[in-house]
Amino acid sequence: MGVEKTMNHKFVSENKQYNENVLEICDVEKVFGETKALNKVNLSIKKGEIRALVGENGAGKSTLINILCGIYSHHKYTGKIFLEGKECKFKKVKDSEDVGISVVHQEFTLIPQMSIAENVFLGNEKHKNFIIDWKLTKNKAKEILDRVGLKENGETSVKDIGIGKQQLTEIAKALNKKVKVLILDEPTAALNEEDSNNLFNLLLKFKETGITSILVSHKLEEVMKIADSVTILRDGKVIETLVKGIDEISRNRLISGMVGRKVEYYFPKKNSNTDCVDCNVFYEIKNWNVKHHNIKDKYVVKNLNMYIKKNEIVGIAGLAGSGRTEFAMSLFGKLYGRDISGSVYKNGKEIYINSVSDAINNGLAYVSEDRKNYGLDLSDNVKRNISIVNLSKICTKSKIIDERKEKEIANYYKQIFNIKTNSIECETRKLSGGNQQKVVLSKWIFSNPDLLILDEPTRGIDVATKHEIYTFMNNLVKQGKSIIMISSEMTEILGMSDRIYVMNSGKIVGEFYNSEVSQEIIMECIVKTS
Amino acid sequence: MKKLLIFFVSLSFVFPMCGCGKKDTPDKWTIGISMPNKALERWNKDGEYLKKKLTDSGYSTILQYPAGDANTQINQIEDMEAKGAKVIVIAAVDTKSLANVLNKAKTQNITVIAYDRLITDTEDVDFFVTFNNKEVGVMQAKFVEKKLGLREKKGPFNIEFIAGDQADENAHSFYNGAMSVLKEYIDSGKLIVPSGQIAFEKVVTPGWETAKAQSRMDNIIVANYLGQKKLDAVLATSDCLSLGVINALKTADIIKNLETNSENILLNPIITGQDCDKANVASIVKGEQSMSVFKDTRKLGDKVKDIIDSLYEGKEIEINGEEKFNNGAKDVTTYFFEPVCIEKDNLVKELIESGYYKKEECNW
Amino acid sequence: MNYLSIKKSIKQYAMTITLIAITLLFEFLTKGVLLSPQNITNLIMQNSCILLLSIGMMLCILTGGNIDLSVGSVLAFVGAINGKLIITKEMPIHFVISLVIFLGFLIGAWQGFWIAYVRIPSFIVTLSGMLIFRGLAVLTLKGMTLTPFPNIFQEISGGFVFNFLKIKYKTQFVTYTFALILTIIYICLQVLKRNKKERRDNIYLFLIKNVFVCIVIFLCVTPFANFKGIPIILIILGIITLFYSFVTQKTIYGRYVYAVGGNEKAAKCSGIDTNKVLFYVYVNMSVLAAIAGIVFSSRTNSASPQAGINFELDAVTSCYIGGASASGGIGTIMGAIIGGTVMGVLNNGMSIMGIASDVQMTIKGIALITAVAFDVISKNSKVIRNVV
Repeated sequence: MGVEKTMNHKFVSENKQYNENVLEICDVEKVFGETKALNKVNLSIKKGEIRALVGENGAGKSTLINILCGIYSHHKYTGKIFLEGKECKFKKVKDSEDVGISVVHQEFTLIPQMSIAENVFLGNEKHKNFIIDWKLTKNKAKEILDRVGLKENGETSVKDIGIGKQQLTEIAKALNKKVKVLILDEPTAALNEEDSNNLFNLLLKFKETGITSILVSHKLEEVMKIADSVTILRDGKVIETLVKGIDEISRNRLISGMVGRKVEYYFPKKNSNTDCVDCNVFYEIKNWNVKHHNIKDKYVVKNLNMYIKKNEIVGIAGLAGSGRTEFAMSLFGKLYGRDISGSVYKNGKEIYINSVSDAINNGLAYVSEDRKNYGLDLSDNVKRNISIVNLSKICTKSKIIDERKEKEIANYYKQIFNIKTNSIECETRKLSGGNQQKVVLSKWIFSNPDLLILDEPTRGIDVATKHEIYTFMNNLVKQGKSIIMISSEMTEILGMSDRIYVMNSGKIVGEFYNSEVSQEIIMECIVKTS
Repeated sequence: MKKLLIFFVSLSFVFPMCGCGKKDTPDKWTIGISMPNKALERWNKDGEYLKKKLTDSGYSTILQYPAGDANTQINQIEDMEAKGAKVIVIAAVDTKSLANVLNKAKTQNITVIAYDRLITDTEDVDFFVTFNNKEVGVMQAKFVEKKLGLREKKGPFNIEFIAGDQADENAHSFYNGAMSVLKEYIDSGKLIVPSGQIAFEKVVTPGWETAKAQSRMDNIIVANYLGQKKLDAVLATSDCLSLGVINALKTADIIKNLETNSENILLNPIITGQDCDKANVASIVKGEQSMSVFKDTRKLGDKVKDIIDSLYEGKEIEINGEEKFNNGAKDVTTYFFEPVCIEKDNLVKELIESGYYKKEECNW
Repeated sequence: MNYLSIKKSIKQYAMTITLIAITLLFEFLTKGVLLSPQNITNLIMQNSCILLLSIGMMLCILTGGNIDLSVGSVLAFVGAINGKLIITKEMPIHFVISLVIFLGFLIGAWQGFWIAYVRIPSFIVTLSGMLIFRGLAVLTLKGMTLTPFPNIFQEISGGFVFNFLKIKYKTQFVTYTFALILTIIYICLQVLKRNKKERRDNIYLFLIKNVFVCIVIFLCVTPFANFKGIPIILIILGIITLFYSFVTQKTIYGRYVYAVGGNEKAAKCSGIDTNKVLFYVYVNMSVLAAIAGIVFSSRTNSASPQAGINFELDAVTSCYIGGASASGGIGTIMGAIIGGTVMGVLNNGMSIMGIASDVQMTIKGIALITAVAFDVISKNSKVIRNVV
């Protein structure tokens, strides 16, 4: 704390001479029940700065954002906020937008059926006497879209454009409100590398026009690349603020600041499975084809061949939209797509998977990238979420559930996964993202699979939990299971996989052993085939 | 799965087709008949009778029921106009909402006959054929007066009232008719309403539902008649309500089993009714219900046919029982029929021998 | 901890407490009529149909806030067929009852097929069902009311168990004997359950709990003992309620219903055949509507094409008052029963007081919004943790 304060003061006094601080946060405290979500937070951000906020889940980043944008009204916290020297007391989101603070939330707030222009002006329509002025809307939209570098017609429906462009639309929506401070919550979580880079260039452009950006991110590489300064939050406190050019901003320093200890091995060491090379093929997928479930005759997966050996972690790398998730979901009981063809072999024998229960019976498990929609029943408790895939295991013959057994099992997984919750009766919506992910993992381990398909298993999860999940994957493999891991984080793929497939536009475009591959090789492989 | 789909799909096509395929050969005029609701026995019978009567004498008819919905009725009347009906017979769902559609009919020289319910606030109604509805309540009340001997200053007696739907104009008429007779006895204390529920809005039964009348009677009994108090009469204004009253009284053992001891009839409360529904006819025979006001709706049908015949042949219209009745816009030529009071004694004569019902229809 | 658990149970039993409060209020306002033996019997008979329907409706609502709009019409149609066969064709009653329940199954299969397998929104399918079956009911009866049913059929809703079984002893004696048997069974089950547990709670607590339940059972049968005994319909209703409570709380099928309602996509990903679950929920609803149709015919002693109008809305009201969530996944069978009873007591109490039906309607509307608002507000005011 002490260190932080002096640093901040030094920072403030330094900058005051030539540049007003656009945003100042003084002694902000916010309490939920008995826990302090924010504990005397002080921040000063100068005009045109790109400030990154990093911290584990639960460190207080979202709370801080919610205070800044008026979701928590001013009497629900203590402390003061100054924008350009004037104290702000927001009662609602509109108040913060009026003075120039805009937030681009992690979850998109676009209405897919509406056009880009309509979305940009949603809630702020250009009108004459309450009749929408379409001409003005169109012209204004074009202007703003040019500013964010979105080369699309304003009349295109949002549902027809890619996720990167949707993100730009979201930013255009924020810009439309005469923004001074732009807050971006995990803006690149769903973006591929190219879209991310576009976004960062845009932030740099804004910087020149005097717009301040606050960037919340888990991706430390991009933070180091783009931010002028980085504030580390942990347990509701500001640990330190590092300024580019003055302090050394390194991955290790950020991580140790976030978790409060030095992380020696980012990826846990495992006994390398060299003996596995000679193993028999465990699962094999041949000539897998999947068509898009809406667009006729569009292949999302084409002629895919893949094998997985016992004790092996197979990584699938690729850009967003390369067909990895679609492949996994089509394999797992035809959850996605139409006209699925191809064959699956387990131990050399062909198996037929027509439904999710077929898939489970054949030893498959699929942990979705979208745990809130496909993984959990958020309104239900931890116990019931874990047991749901394998209820027959805890049942009498007459299909009556043995609740004692169910509790035992839930408590067992709570313990081995270190799920942080008061009780297994707690609703899963109250858990943090990492703990929710652990519940999903418990659920699928309880189904006793042979092949676990993990789709973005650590997305939106803090570093410490990531480490736990990696360790757990290694343990599973040791027990004779196999894992397919789909991930957009290159470091994760490289750190965890024994073997890596690279996918692009629905096809496998490369296959490498871990020892012979690097990030550059994978990227090159993708670029070459694009 | 696909077979199942095909099966269901084809089923869904076949269903609506049943009932089609009838064909009329039009000789004389086309007559439109719009009755309020097919789900009520009374209108069903009326519609069928009128249709048969008219087709037998060579008219072609369009008979439609709007399922108790005023708006649907307007649409159906418009359809009849479009199909070239010369006369339209209407028993209105909502007596006040037809002015516009009738105005259109007038411009096409269509004759409009209001059937049983007077269509109000329009000049475009030509004839009105009806029973004297106010008289219904009076008859029920007079029946109670007679059986209890109120005029002979007997009493005091206990009575309860069950009226129809608050939104129905006729329910008001029935209730007011009854009260015009009984009010003096209530005021003088010869008739007592132990539940205290006398005002119209307290005795109504939403939707004329049997089950609601039954529940209300249950509750009245529990609250008022568990001690020594004897229930002497229930003035229910319609047969569907009487049915509920009888069920409630049976559950509470107030109506005794009559098959074993016919003397009990004298001990049973007086229960009134109206319309002589088949179910209630059986009750009257058994002695559970005391009376029902019978409106021989065939009389209305016959009169309608007479009017149409006269119009067709261009004759003067016979003027027996004719009267003028103001509907708020003009005096409408009106034909009144007096209802008949049916008891156990005259039931066979009035209902069976007149051919209104066949004996075996009524399940007694 | 203790304080918290008390607070939690208050929330959990809020509706039960409301029910007791409303009952006491009307007991006072009606000067003791409400809880008189005969009126309690009346209450059960008047509300049995709606309670049966709300059990089925609760399952529909659980699967994602869907409501079945067709139940009133199905009830009328089944009642019509039932009346036609028993009264007009004079077919044996047992046979007809099983036949019409099977008819309910077929109707449910028809609607369930469109909803679950073709994925037409249930609102539309059941709206069409509402029209189809009302139409068929009118068609079957040609718009007429059929009556009367044989006495034995009327017993279903109006009869009493001991009369029916021709037990000649005094009603009080038989009723209390019945209660005694019930308590003995209950205590045996509790003791067995306790012995199974590894961590037993305090023996005194256990005793107090059981004695309390026994007293409640005896208190509950007292009104019946002082009238004509236990109504047959109460036994039917009791068995159906216990059965559905058990199925939803303790079995795999029940768990599946909750899972589909909570998050259908997640349920599908967990290997649950969500179509099948939806299908059977609607089949079940129509079967219960068929049973309710039989009960309703028996109560009004008639088969009428106008039977059951607006019953679907009464059933839905019961469920929402009983704590169901409009988005699905939350709610219990007991909740629906309690919600239905709250409405029943309101109806009955106000009717005894002689409150006009238009005022009654208004008060019921207010009761619905109050109950749901209480539920929603109490949920929202919960401390939000781990939002970050």
